Amino acid sequence: MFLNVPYDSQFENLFLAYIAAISAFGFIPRATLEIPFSRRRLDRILDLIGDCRFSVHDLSRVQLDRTPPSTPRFNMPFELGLAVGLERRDHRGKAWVVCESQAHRIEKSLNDLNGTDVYVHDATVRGVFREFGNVFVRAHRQPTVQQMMAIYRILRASLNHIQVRAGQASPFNARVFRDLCVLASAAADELVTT
Amino acid sequence: MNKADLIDRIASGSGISKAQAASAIDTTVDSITSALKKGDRVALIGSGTFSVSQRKARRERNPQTGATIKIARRAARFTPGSERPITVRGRFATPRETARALGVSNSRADALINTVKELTYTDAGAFSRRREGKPVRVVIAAKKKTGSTHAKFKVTTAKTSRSKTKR
Repeated sequence: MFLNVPYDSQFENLFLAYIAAISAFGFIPRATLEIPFSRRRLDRILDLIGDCRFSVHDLSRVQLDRTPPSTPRFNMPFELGLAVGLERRDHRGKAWVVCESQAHRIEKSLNDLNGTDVYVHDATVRGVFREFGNVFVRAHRQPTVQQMMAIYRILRASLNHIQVRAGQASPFNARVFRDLCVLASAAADELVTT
Repeated sequence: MNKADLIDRIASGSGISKAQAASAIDTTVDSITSALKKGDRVALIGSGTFSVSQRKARRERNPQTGATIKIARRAARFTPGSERPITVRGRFATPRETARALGVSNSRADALINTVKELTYTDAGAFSRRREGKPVRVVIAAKKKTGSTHAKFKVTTAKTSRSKTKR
C-alpha cells in the first residue's frame, strides 16, 4: 500500500499510526521515502504507485508553512493525482483513499474531489485507526482499534532506538521507515490473530 | 417509502414539525432540480452526486406530419458515493515478506522480529529502551503460552523511578 503523507515532525504520531494501521491489515507500507532524490525520481514514484494496489493520501497539510518562504505542500495532491490517473488508466482493481484532518476543508482545498468520500481522522491516532476500519474489511484477521493501538505503541516505544541506530533524528528517512515497517509487520503478525 | 413516510421520518429524526419537514424536502428537491436544469452537478459528499447525462439523439417520427426528427434527451442521474468498505482478499503479509519487499537484510529483520517476540512473550518489564535520555519502561503483559489465539495483551509506557534512573 502506497502511503502519501506529509513528512514533518508534527505529523510523526500520525505517520506511525498509518504504518501501524497498514501493517495491521496485512499490507506492506511503501512510501517515496524509499526513493533517493535523483533525476529519475518521478519515474520511480510512478513505478512505486503503479506497483501498489491501494494508496492512502493524507491531505492534512494544505496550509502555508511558517518557514520562509511560506509555501504550501504540493507533493501530496500531486501524488494523489498520479494515483488517480494510474487507477483510471489501468482499471485493475486499484483503489485510492483520501484522508483529511478537518471535515469539509477539502471542499475548498480540492473541490475536484466533490462526490468522493474523504475520511476525516481529526488529526488523532485513534481517528486514523477508526477510519482504516471504515475503509478496509478483511474476511480473516480483521484488526481491531485496540490491536492497531498496541502496534502503534510498540512502534512509538522503539522509535528512538531505531533512530539512534540509523543515526537519524527523524523517522522520515528510508532506513528508519523500513525498520518501522518490518517491526509493525512483526507486531501485526503476533497481535492480529483472528 | 413515499413522500409522506419520508416526511414522518425526517420530522421524528430531526425533531421538527411535519410542515417544516415537508418544506425542507420541497426546497431540497427544487434546489437540486434547478441546478440540474442549468447543467450543474450536485455533489453530496458521503452520499453521491446528482448530474445530467446527455443521451444519444434518437430518430423519431412526428405522428402529425410524418417527418423524421432527431430527439436528444437529457437525463438526471444519481451516482452513489463510494462509501463502502474495500474488501481485502489478499494474503496477510508476513514480516519476512515485508522485509524482502523493502530490502531489509535478513539479520536486521530477525532482530526486529525478535524484538516484537520479546515484547509479546516475556513477562512484564522485560523490555526497556532509552528514550530522550530518560529510561522508559515498556510493560507488556505476559502472553500465556496456552496456545490460545485470544491472548490478551496490554502495552503501557511508564517512566522508571529516580533510583532506577541513577542505576
